[in-house]
Amino acid sequence: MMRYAVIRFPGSNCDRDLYNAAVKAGAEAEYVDYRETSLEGFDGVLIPGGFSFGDYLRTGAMASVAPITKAVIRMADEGRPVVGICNGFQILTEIGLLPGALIRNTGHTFISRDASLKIVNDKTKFTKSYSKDEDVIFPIAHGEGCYFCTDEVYADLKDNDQIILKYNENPNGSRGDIAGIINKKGNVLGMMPHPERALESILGSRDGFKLFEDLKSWEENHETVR
Amino acid sequence: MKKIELIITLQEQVLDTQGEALDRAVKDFGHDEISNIRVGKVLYFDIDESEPAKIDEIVNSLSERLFANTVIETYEYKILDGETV
Amino acid sequence: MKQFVEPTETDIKEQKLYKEMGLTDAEYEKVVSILGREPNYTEIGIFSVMWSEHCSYKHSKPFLGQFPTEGEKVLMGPGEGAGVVDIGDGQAVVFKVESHNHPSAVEPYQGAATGVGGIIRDIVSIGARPVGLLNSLRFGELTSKNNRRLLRGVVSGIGGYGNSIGVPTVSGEVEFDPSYDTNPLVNAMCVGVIDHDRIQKGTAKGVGNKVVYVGLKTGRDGIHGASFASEELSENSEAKRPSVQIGDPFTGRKLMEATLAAIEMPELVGIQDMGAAGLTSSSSEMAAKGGSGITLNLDKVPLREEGISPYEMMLSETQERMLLVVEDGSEQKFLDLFDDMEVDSAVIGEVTDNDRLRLYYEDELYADIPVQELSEEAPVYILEGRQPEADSERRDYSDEDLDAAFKSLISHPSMASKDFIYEQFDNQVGSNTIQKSGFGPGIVRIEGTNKAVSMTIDGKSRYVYADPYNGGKEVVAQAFRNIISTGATPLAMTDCLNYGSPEKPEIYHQLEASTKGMAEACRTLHTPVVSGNVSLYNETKQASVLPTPVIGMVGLIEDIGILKEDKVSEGDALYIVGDLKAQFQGSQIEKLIDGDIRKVSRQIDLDLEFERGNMLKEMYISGEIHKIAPIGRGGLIVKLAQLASHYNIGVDVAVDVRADLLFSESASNYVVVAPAGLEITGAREIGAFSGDAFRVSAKNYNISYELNEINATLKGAIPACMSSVD
Repeated sequence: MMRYAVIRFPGSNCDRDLYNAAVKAGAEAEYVDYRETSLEGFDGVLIPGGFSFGDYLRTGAMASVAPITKAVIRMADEGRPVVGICNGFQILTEIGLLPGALIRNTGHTFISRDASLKIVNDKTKFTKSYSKDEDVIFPIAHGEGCYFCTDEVYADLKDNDQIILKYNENPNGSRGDIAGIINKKGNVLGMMPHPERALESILGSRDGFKLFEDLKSWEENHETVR
Repeated sequence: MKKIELIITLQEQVLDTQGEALDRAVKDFGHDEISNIRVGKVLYFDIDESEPAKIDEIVNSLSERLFANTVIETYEYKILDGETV
Repeated sequence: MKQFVEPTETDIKEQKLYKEMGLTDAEYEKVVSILGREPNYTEIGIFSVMWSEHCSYKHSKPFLGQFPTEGEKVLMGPGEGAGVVDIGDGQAVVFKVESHNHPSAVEPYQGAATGVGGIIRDIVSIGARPVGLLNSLRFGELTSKNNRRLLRGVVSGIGGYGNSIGVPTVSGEVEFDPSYDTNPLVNAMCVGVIDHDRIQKGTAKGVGNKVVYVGLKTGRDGIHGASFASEELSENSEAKRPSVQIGDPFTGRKLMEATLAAIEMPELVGIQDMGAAGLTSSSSEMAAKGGSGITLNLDKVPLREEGISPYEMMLSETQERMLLVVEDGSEQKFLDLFDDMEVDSAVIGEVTDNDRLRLYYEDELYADIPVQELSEEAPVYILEGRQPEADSERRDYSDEDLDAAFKSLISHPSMASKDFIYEQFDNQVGSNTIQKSGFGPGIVRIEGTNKAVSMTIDGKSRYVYADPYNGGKEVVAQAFRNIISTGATPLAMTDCLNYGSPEKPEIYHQLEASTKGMAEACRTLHTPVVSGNVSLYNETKQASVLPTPVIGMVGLIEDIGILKEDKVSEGDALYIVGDLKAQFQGSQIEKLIDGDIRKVSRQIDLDLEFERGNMLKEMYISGEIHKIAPIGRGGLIVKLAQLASHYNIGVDVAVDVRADLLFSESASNYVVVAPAGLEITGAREIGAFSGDAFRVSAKNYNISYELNEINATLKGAIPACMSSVD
């Protein structure tokens, strides 16, 4: 049984949703305050969406130097699953656990809608229950979700199959329609869309459920072919 | 004690959507002579240190770790009171 | 020797400084008689804000008294931060609507953002967790650059605050009309959920109990905002910019969580939001409600800058603050809690038994005011209204170019898709949103249950202008219809009365007659009023805004199983419920073709409304019908276009009536989607969802469009306006 830490920063606002999603899928979860310095006893980390530290200075910037961050980096180094959603993705790029950066949407405005996405890589521990090119609907809700990276990084991402999720209709100007990526080792995942809001058809979509089931069974998921 | 002015802007190659919007707005005002607006941030702070090398080290380190994201931004700073680095 | 240089009692009297604060000579004299002496600067400032229209309802109180406020489900009616209504299982919903019109006219982003923040704090101060936000917005036409600027600012302000604090925005309404040119209406509503045993009141009781301040440090923000909100906008308003407060959703979120944590502590006696008139209204109202006095030591108030005087502190409208009264001896527990949650707090005073609001700064007395008189003896003005002469009625538009009218209406921002606006609001945070903004009420599941709350906000100002009395009824009925359309039982409502200057006899008449109509509708439709707000003096350049009562209504869905998705499908039949009568006064086709609104009485039968609504609701719950869509702006034909576009299915409809009746806006009518051949009282089948064309015909009239074209027109209208460069 995987036990996840859901990190709470001041200004996080999807912490409950993410916690509920993990528990609903059968994993264990517990909130951890950003002022803690240890993640002992946890098998993985979930970094929720929201506006950590008010998005002041730059999205994710202040969270990336918070006390808990060193422990998050340690988890990532040990090869344990680290997942950042929306603001969590922004934080992971700020920390440097994932390449690139998230900048303001090209249309300037915040965008909240159900986004149609494609699973690009189904050979990761996070996406093994999906199939390649599967279309899924996850809500998006962000003002700074335009994925930016240099040509070298982009080539790298493609060569290493690190792009796992793409927009079918690019809403924010993201390079290569990128909606979610993993690190080279395959244990750190960041994505702008909200799979934790897509668990029940009455709320619009249940396409996100498999992602949390894959997180629950992370240990047993076989190392992927890349 | 010195006062620092730190200016952070998006790197040249990064699309500055606010800048683009302002460019358009300025043209709407009839000012065709303005172009290439880049929007940045400025931070002012006091530093209890007087040695330029020390200041440089502290400001650079903080800028790279927190104030700016060097993946997309660049920064420069001035020590106010006439001294510039 | 006082350390702040301020006008003296004599200056105030002789130079009539109270006039700048919005008080009349008679009101000043009343203050003198209450105090038994001339007020000092701090005192007159306090009276001026407490006696502003915004805080005292001095022109609207008699009208508000007409509203029914009780019902078997009502747990707490008007008078507190928000109303509370039972939803069973020991839970309740808490809701209120509030205006932020004037601040939004001056600084649209901050005006709208602080409006959202304020209404959220009202809900939180009752002890409830907010689960949904709604907004009712009115602007001048988007052909004007300034109106586009206002819309852009207001929308990003609502999103900027609501998205960040993490409360989903789930429904709203937006109307564009020249009457709101430069005086937009920005009404925000919030709905929260609470357990019965957690309901808090804004009261100060128990001698020696401590007054605790929590939230942002006080600055000089928005001084005289409450009296500013009660004045007409003028050229000078721009110069009053410092009055506008700045919202901080980050602190707002921390404060919300801190407040909800404090409410779990048994030592909490009372709590109130520091909204309009900040520390003044919260402290004096809490004392008045508790039948106590309060002494504040203002040197203990956390400040953002030095040198802020007691006068400024009492009038500051710095956002993100709450005032608590806690049991003597427990204050440290609260301070520790707030410290852990990273919000500033301080003990700034205590409850007394002397019925006085006493303010000290470094042991010097700055104000000494009897609490009850301050809050209860605000002047009430009963004026004389004047009913304008009725116009002649126009009952026939069948000679007009109705094809052109249809196209104009569906490309007008009032009727077109509002995706441009609603996509800027996070509508799903919290993962309980079943139906979001854009097509009817918001529906939010009560976490951990199979129940849901349906919530809507609506206004129909053109009807109210045409016929204030019946128009008032129609606004309530429209909200009722919306709630019914989701299969919910309407529970109760909140109202926001946006009008021009009550000192104008015609406006006073609008207020008088429309509130009478609203009160009647509330009774017949069983929707008592549990909270509300009044915004008068919505005027610019000699013109008043249309009389705009806005209704927020909440209903309960007992079992979300009835909301199975995709119930509507190709082949379903379309019915019209009700008669298409000629009712064009206040309609959109009248606006398009004639411009002016004819002052002609409108018709609505409230008993029929109630009966029909309940019948349709039951048929929806039982699954016999698949969708209920109340007919609104633009009449039947516009509703059909919106339905076709929403479900992305063509419609084929033939109605055997005079063609212009397709555009008539008569009350109590619905389009219903159900299997063909169904028996529905008062209804007739008019066609079906089929194919990919939009075909509608009436006597000597038929139109046909590709569904794509209808879609593109509805969806493209607002973006096209907003990208215009003139």
